[in-house]
Amino acid sequence: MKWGANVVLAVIVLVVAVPFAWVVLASFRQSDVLTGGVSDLGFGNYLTVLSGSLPRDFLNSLVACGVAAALSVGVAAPAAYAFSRFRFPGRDLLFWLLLVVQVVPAVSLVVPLYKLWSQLDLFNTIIGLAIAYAGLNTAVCLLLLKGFLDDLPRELDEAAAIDGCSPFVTFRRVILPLLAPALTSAGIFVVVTTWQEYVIASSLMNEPTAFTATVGLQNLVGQFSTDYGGIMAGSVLTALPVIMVFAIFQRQFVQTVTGGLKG
Amino acid sequence: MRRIAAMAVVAALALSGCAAPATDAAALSVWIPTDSTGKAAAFVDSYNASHPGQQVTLRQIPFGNYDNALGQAFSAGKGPDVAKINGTTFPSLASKGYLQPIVPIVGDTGQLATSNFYPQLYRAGEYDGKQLALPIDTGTRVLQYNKKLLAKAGVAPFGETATYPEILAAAQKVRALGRDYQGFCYVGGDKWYTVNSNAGPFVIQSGGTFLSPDEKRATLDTPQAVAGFEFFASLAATGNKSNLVSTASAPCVEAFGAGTVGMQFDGFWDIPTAKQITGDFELGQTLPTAQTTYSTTGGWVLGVPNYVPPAKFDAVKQFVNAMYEPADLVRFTSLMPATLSGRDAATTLKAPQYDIYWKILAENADNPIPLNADLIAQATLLTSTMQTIILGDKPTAVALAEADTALDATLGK
Amino acid sequence: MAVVSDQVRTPTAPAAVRGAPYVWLVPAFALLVFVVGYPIVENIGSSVTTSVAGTERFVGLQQYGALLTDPTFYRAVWLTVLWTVGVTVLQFLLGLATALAADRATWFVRWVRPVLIIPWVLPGVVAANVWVVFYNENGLVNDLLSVVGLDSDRAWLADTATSLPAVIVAAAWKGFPFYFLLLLAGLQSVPKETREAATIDGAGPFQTLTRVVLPQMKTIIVTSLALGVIATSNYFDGIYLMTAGGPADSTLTLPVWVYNTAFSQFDLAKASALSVIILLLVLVPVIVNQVRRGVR
Repeated sequence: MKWGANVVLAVIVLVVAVPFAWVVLASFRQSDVLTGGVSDLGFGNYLTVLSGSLPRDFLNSLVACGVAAALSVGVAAPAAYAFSRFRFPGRDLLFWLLLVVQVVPAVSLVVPLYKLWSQLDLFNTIIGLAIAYAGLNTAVCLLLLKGFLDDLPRELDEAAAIDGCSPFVTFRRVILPLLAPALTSAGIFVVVTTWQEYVIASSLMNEPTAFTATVGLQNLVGQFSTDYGGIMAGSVLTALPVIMVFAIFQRQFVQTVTGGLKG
Repeated sequence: MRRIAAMAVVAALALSGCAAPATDAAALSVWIPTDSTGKAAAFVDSYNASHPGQQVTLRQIPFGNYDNALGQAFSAGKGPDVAKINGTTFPSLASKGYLQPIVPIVGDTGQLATSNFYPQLYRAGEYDGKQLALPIDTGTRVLQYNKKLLAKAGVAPFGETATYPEILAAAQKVRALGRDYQGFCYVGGDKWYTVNSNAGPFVIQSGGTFLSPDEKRATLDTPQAVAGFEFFASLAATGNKSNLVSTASAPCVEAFGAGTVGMQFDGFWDIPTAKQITGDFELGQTLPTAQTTYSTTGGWVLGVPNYVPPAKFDAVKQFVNAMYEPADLVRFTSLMPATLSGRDAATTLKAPQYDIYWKILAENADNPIPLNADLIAQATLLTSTMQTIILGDKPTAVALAEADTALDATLGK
Repeated sequence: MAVVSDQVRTPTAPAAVRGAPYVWLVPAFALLVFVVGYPIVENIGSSVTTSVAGTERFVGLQQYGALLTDPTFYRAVWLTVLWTVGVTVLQFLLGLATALAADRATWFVRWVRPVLIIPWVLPGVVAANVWVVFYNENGLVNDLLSVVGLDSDRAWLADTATSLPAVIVAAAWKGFPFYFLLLLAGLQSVPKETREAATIDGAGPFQTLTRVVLPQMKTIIVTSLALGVIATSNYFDGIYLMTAGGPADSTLTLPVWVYNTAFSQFDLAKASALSVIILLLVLVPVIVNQVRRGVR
């Protein structure tokens, strides 16, 4: 049984790792990036992308994803608390609306968002992109956090209420500290999904100084030539931070998701 | 919380239309697809320095995203004041009413005189009887081949021209070398490529067309069109089918330089660069003998969107006139400049290997480039049809008859 | 904090605070209205107007009528269904297998877990490029097939018979870690004792899984499937970058069609109408589910 599981796992790891290993190998090829062998390897592609716009693109991505995570988690937490703890007229309708928001295809939001963003001068700003990302992820965060909150014993709130705390104080003093791991995990979820987002980023940004990492990568596909070496090296560099963040937070992430989805 | 509240207020203002954009008559936004050489940016910098009181901002957008970005900006009514527009995209944008007549704004004297442009390119900026754009550049296409690989396959180099049977036989011999070799490499995924660089040129060279001259009727089922598609399909069969869904020419160019591709029908911009070339490559170029009409182009035009107010016209005029100075126009293109004076300034394109491209351009001065408002939708249909034919899912004549009916239906609306 | 008192809880009523805490909801819903709600309304508006020579004109439901009589539409709906079902089933099975194999605390498992999520965090642009090369005539897929004796020179993406399965497999590879993570979390929430009890009762591993473990994970399975189906049916980057809907429209799902219509053909009215129809289509299961709950 144990051996069987290890074999299955080993096969899956191979299936997962081979394409990534291929990207890593290709990123070191200095010629014939797509078809070459192992004869002409070096750091050339990495030096090229790192001396280009990639570091700036990374910084943009970092800011956009970070702000988006903070904003979406920040607005979702009180709402999740309200959904989890209060009964009020329209509760079911509002919750239903949340589900609706979840199913809207991002493709269909692009044109209207573009119009609105350029009217508001949010176009081509990192904050503008972060707001869009936050809005697109608020519903997911809310669902995750609500599930986690539903699992927190209500006795905590009630005890605080007996002590004379208002709901707001209860939320801030009692609930938020307990919610911290879930907030982190929801934030990581937002960062992981927005870090690799392309369609919205490419629609709401067309100024090179505002490019995110994925848009910068796609920028290497030119009209007259495509810098595949740069794309591969850039991809490895783009994927690494997320993999590392995930390796560090994996246990916490899994726990939150468990809590969040039981609700 | 406070930030959100502020945002909501701003949103409400925007929805009620209170956030009217301020217009500064001297500030221009110019959009071009990313120019990695930096020459266009250098020109704009020097223009700003020599024109105090004017402020031109150059925005460079990745080529892959450029058409989308323009479409978005034009439909939103906010974006560039002057924009480089893909020649094949231009009719679609023009038909939506997004562009205003450009000659009344920029004038037609000096470099902008009609006589300074290649006539067929100038006409490509015309829509519905109005000159809505000025051509910037063009790029003709020829049959590029790898002399070394053809020799390996036992084919002698082509002369100045090559017949269709010669081309096909050579491609098949290269393919016979093994599955690592492609006789003829092509890309088919990106829609308008079908019209410009795949089956299109061969259809036109076979005497066929896609549409009748009045653009009211599809002509895909004519014997000439069928012959053109058929020849291209047999040529394509000597290449990798995978390219059918490739959206960029890079895989062909890279494999061409690496010495595994016999030939491609392409512009000089897709000649492999030093970085892509291995020892197994030597460039040869020829023209198919049926080269009687224009072998098409991926050129660019310059347009002014309809939302640009008259207050800005003076600034637009000054900038565009400066931009078309021969030495400066060259900085806005890595293709062949569309003006006669620009041609003389394009010193890097003076090398003998470029002669063949200029020759085609000159020979076709009176042949109009086939463009129309629904070109992109038609190209989508044609791409799909061409894929069906090459994959052998349906006989050529049947597939084209069906496409002809479908195209007729869209023209009738 | 005071000692938790049993008297506070009444056994019948849910332990929820009654009141109107709308102020708690305002930030989240303001953001949602701003980023998602407004665009939906705007889409509905532009689906009933057309822009001719720069002026907008009301055309009613004309776009919808044209779409609903277009055979391409029904084909796209069908392809979207095939795509969604295919990707979801593959991702779920792969995710479940991985979760079952990785539900142990050995050094091997701990070491490979971060590796397992690589596909999920790899930018879609990259994943698409890689799979395009793998699916080539002389790509890795054919190489592997010839190793096991099945010589093939098939161009997997450029063949109308295999293009859809090929993009489905690539998408399953990209997205299965999502299910893996959720299902692993679900597995770990099933008490060990339950499983051990089943084993003692003589149930085999497979029976334990299907009769004891999976039923206990029902909520997490349903929720992850719901999220997955929604994400998959709306997903288009991968298909777009690999085949752009081709060859011969064999991978033209609804979102790819929307994108092509809006951004290649600049037909925003048609694209808006399509978006609205997609929204309605995806809403159907949500509404049905809601009504069923209401009935209960």
